[in-house]
Amino acid sequence: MKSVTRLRGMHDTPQDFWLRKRNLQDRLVQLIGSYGYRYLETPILESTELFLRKSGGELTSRMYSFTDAGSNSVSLRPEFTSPIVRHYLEHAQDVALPARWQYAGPVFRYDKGGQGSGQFTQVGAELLGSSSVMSDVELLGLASHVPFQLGLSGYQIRVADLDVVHSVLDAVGVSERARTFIIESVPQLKEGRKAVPGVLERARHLHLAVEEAPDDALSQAIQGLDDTQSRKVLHGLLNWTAADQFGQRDPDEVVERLLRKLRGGDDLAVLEKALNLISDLAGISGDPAASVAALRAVVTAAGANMAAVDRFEEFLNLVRSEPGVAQSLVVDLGLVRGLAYYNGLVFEVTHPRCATPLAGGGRYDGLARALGSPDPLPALGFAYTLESLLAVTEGSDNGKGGASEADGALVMAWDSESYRPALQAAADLRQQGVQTELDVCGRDLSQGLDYARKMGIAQVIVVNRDGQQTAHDTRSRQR
Amino acid sequence: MTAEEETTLRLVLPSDGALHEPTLNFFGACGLSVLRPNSRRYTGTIPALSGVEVLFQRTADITEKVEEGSAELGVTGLDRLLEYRHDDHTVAALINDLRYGQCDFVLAVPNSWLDVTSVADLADLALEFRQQGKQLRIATKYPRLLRHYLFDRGINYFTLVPASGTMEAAPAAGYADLIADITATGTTLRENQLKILEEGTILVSQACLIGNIDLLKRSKTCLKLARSIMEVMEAHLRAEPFFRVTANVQGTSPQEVSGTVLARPDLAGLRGPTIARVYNVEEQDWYSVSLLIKKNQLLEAVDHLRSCGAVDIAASQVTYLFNGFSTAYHNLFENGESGGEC
Repeated sequence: MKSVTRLRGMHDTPQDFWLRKRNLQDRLVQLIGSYGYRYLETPILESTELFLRKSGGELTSRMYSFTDAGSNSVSLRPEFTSPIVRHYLEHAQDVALPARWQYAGPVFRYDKGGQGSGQFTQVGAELLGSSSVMSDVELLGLASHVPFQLGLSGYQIRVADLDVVHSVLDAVGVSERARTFIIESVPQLKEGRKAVPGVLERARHLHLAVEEAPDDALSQAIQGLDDTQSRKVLHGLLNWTAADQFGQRDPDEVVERLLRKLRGGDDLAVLEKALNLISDLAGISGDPAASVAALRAVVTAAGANMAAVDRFEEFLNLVRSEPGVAQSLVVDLGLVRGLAYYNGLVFEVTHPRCATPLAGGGRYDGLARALGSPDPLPALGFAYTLESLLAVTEGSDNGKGGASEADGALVMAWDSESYRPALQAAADLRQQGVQTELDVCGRDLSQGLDYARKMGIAQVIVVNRDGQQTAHDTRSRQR
Repeated sequence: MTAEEETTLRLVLPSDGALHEPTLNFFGACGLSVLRPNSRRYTGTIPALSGVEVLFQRTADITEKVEEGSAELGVTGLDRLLEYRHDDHTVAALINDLRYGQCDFVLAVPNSWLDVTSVADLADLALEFRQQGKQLRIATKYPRLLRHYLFDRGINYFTLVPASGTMEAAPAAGYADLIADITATGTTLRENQLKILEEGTILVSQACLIGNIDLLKRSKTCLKLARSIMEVMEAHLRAEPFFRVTANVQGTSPQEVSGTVLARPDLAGLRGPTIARVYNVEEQDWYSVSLLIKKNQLLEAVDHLRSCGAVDIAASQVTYLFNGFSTAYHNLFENGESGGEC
């Protein structure tokens, strides 16, 4: 029969590595705890819906989802933020805000490639219930304290502020749809203005921007009509088709979108202006002071409100004095992410020895609403990937766990008459705190010594039927 | 553990659905007629090829059966192979297109969505739904293919509603907004007030021959039998568009006859006509001309031969057309490991 193998992306953790990992995790939990973050353990298995609402498509497609025996659609958690917010919403009456929670444990994300995939460990913190600049400073300060405490060097803390981006888009005046599209396009736009024509082309393809009215039968039908008249015509057309399935939409929605499509979306020139400004913003990265100056220039050019930049600057100034921040803080507006409920601060902790970020975090004031909260709940958090941290601390004494030098004992019975005294001897040794193995294979002394050397056991103790013990040091060559 | 080398090749064929009959017909046309003692038995044999055991399974299960090693070979739809097989590609399409069982995997939305005509519209609508805090719900039996397709087009916000069978009713029943489903003609979609989106064809599928590569490599006997099946199928597929035309033409020499026939090189066979002397009692010079002609050129070729003075023009369908070697077999088993996969 073929043997059953380990799944891709899943790893067995041998003792040495497990000790290092647990040791590092304990240090992080202790550090985060010292800021007042209470430990919260959430289930590994949650309703699939919880993560769907948070992540939309991309992460969802990488979830380990299945239907349980009770026909519930469930998933192994791919992240902790949604479970933490779910916990808060379930206990909102009993929780005083701001609430500080920390967590540590395995998360699961499927990936064909293999990098950062399968099962890995996240350690993180969430701060719920404050929108003050002080909460941003505390959280980023804490995130920065982690590598600082571990004595790591060469790491960078890259920060951006989504509200600055929004203030520019507010000033230019784009539709909600175009706004979402533009923020999703930041990864392309950070290449600079040369990326704008390509993005604009995509926008046109999505009917987000139109130069001239399309020349099809429907457009002709409403040509020269005002919006009210056009709506009547299109409603009439819809009745005419006698189609009555709309899914989650209603006839008004269909007519409104159709009208918008026929009349064209955002003005092309406005959209282009917005894309140019956002590509200028997205390209800003580097030293905080210089970056803020560059941000001010773009915001001024857009004629936008300076409040978001002011707050970002205040944040940068305050956070600089937190442990490990000053030498590692970099502004990088290209970090801005597209998820709908993200706003304000976004950051990543990176290290040259690790291809993926060590940690990511930011503000997500809109998530609680998406998860069904009646009230808005300002919140922010971060998560470290423990395996990445271990990889970059490897070799330094700081991340190190248990000693790998030989210690402990192997107790062997001289013959079958000596079993009882051997059991007693092993029990006594364990009582004294010595890690003790019992020979359960009836080996002779030379085999016992070979085994003990292989396993890194320091002593082999042979016990005879009278309870007399003879100790042999495995580190010496004599027998 | 040392495994006994398999001496029987197990071939799993669809026992149900749209592929059942055409598959048996195709095997028959390839000269590999399947003998099934009675219709309630789920096993059969191919008398023309001893050593092959035929198993009948539901079409939906065939990829899995071959993957788990219950059979070395199978016939199923390309759609089902691409949706169900594991990432490690133990199962590969040995012959991608057996030229039957054609169907399209398409996105279809309610007719009433006058504003949604293309996949670009759908991308836009997904954004709009997200802003309204709604998820676009798509019913499908092929979540994996659909997800890939949507992500590739920048559509990230949707919920898949797993469904099998009568999916066309999902929007009417209210558990999905649109569907991604298999259609051969589009009739059922139309009858359920659904329309196919422009650029909304996710996959063009047809029947294919699949095989468990690892398993086949482990047994020389199986590999040999698989090779025979692949060769015969390829030769049949290659032959299918051709007619063999023979005619008698009068002339003074083979050169003269070939000269007149080759006046239309496009109608003169794959590599030119075969011309042989006809021996008869009257002492006239007759030559037999033999050509391979594409089906759609048959009448044209007959006219051309007539104009060359041909009589006794016979045309017959070609059953097999063998090449120097089996392309599919060569790609998979002789030329690297994974060539020829789709």
